Amino acid sequence: MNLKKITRRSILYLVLIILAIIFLIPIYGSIVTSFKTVDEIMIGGFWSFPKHFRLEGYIEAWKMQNLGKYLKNSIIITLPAVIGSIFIASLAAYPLSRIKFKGGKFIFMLFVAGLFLPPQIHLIPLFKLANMLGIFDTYLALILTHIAFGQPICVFILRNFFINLPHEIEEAAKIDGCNDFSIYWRIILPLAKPALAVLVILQFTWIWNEFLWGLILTQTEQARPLTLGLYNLQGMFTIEWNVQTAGANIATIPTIIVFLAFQRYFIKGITLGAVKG
Amino acid sequence: MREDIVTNTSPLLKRRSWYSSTGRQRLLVPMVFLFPSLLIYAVFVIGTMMYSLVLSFTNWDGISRTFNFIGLVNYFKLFKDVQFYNALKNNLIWVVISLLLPMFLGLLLAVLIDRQIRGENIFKSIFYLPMTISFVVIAVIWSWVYEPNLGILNTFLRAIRLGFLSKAWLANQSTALFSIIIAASWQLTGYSMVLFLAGLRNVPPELIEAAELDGASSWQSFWHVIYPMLRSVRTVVIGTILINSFRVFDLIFAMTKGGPGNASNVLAMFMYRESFLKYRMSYGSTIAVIQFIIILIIMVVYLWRAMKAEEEVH
Repeated sequence: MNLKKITRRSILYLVLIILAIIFLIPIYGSIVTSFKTVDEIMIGGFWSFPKHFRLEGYIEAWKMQNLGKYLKNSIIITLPAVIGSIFIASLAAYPLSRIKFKGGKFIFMLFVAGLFLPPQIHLIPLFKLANMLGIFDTYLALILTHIAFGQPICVFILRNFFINLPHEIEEAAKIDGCNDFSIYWRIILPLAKPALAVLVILQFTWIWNEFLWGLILTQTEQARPLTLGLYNLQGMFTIEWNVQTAGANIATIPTIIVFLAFQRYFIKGITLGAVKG
Repeated sequence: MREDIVTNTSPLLKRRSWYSSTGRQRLLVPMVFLFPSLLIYAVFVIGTMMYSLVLSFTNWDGISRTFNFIGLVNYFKLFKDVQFYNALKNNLIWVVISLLLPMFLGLLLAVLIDRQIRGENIFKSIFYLPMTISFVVIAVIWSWVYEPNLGILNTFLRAIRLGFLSKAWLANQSTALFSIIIAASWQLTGYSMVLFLAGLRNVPPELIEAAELDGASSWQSFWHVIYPMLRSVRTVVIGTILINSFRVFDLIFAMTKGGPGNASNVLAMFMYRESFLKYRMSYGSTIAVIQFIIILIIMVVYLWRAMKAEEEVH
């Protein structure tokens, strides 16, 4: 009986470890390749551990391909977009969850519907809109776009969170004469910290990794985010895999750091939006 | 007598209700809170959607200053376009494989990890990590995996004497789409796993214990007790996969652009090509509208069936 259990557990671990290794292979390849020279790659191929850690790939990607500029662009775009989208959504989520008014349900459904729209239906008009507003190829175009398209998920999660917050404090505050904005700012928001934290992580990752809006709304390196920069890298350096993988690693380091530091919130975020109750 | 009172006081009541802070809730405060969000959402999301709809009824090419309304001409053209059906087919292939591979693999992983193993967090992180990586990065990483001469897939095949199976995965018409879907599944599995894990954790242990006491084997207790309780998670996972399979773009754009030829063309890629590469923006808008309608129909049908199934259980 005991032996059976031990064998079972061993098989379980074995399967998991094998699958984990398989899952990590592409990442391993990317990291290892980025530290080689082109010649080393040609000889050694994918697998081999680099003989010496050479930084040519990274230097090339950074200097020649302007990844530094794109990194800066991504930061300038992502941070305001994250803060802006969550703040505005929290404003919207407050009445949708704590005030009964005509059209409240309809407006909420309107936001939720946005979760299912294919981005393609927005592409051409967005392009035109940016040109019309004179913000094509600027940070503002991307920031506004990210804020707008972040509303569905942020309003959805925040409204569902707010709705479960206790009403007693709010009632006491109302008796004391607090207006709605104070209630929102001093009571609801602080209580919503867990949900806000989750959204910050999710939005940061989503916006940082975003590609399509950057593709449509930028043309020069002026406002081009890192994802686009990496894409251009692909086109120009098809043989130099050390440069490409170095670029890929640079582009993904921020989100991996965020992920490793805030895993709990990630997982919470996925399940908050998905699993009922 | 009564009506008198009502008609005499009602104008007063109407005025009051805008400013009173008791009784019927007023509209002003909610609207102020909602204003920024609704404004930007209405313009950037709803407005653009409407604009695409209108555009699909014109013959605008994207450059000219003028265009005409041509009614449903674009739609008829689309339904006769071979490329449309090819792209649609590829999206359907995407759905099928995504439902088979990442979903079940995710379930398997969730089941294994749920058994209170040591290092649970490490395993979870490893499988979930790809979800935090941008599609462009995935494209680079996997293009390297698929590289015909040096990439790991082919070198591995050659190392185990199956070299004849090696191909130019992304450049070959018959393997391009599948190769991309595998790369996407690498990412999707983690998502599926996290949701199933959460679902598994919600299964009351007493049920499982009761089944085991009744003599059920682990397989039986899984299939007959646990699996049915995962229904709502399954609904979410399947629904998400269904919708996303018709929206995929980034990975295909970054790996093959729909090629070679049209082998990996999907609706979103098709739309992009027509709009921004061939300058047929009104036609592109038509594709986008149809894409939206397809997703809408799938969603409605799926949710309706899912809700019906839930009712039957209760």
